[in-house]
Amino acid sequence: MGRQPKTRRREYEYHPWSTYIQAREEARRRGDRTIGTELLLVALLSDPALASALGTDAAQARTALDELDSESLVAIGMDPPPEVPPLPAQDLQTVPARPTFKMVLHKHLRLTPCAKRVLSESSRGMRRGHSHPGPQHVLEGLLELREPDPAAELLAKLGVQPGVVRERLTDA
Amino acid sequence: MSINELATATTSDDPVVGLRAALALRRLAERVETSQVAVARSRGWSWQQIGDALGVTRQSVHAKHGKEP
Repeated sequence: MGRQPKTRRREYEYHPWSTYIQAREEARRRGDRTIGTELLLVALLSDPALASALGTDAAQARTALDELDSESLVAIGMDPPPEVPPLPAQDLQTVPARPTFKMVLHKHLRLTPCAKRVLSESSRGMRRGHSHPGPQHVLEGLLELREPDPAAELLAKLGVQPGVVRERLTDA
Repeated sequence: MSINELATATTSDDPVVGLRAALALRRLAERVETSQVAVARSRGWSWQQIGDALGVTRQSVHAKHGKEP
């Protein structure tokens, strides 16, 4: 019969761009002009497996971020803090695990330097093929951050211990 | 609250909290801007008028708040 098809480049299921796009939507709703590490964390929480590893969910994380903001405003003397609701959600069709360039570039927002490093280091691991790539690699990068990084502060506020989560991720 | 009280409250605090407050204020400003631009557009303001009110060009306000195809 015909020739065997050439071995195709392995099609990875996940690309960090999908996390970027979800984090960008969080940023837009909150009024952020840059995407910080804490929003990468909220974006990852839409994955049920990661949410259970962290023992929390995206809604709780959003509430915790709002509380952190309100507390800081009270601390500088704005008591009660002004109530400005987050911007309405745009109907974001479910983000594919591998988004297209067009989706990535549409309404682009910059990542903070630290968020950029976390995402690029996770995809560097993918290219080398050292491990099975996935959103958990982005999460591992986030768990290494120390306060006052916003993701570390959000984890502390949620009562999540990075060491415990790291163990759960390696067991899984 | 006077400006002086705000200044002392700001400076006497932990910079972790103070810096986060600065970011929180920026977020609030951005939310107000976005929702008010939407109100202005719904009342028939042109991008030129909104740009004048915000002190930016109509192109930049349209790029930021306009709907993309």
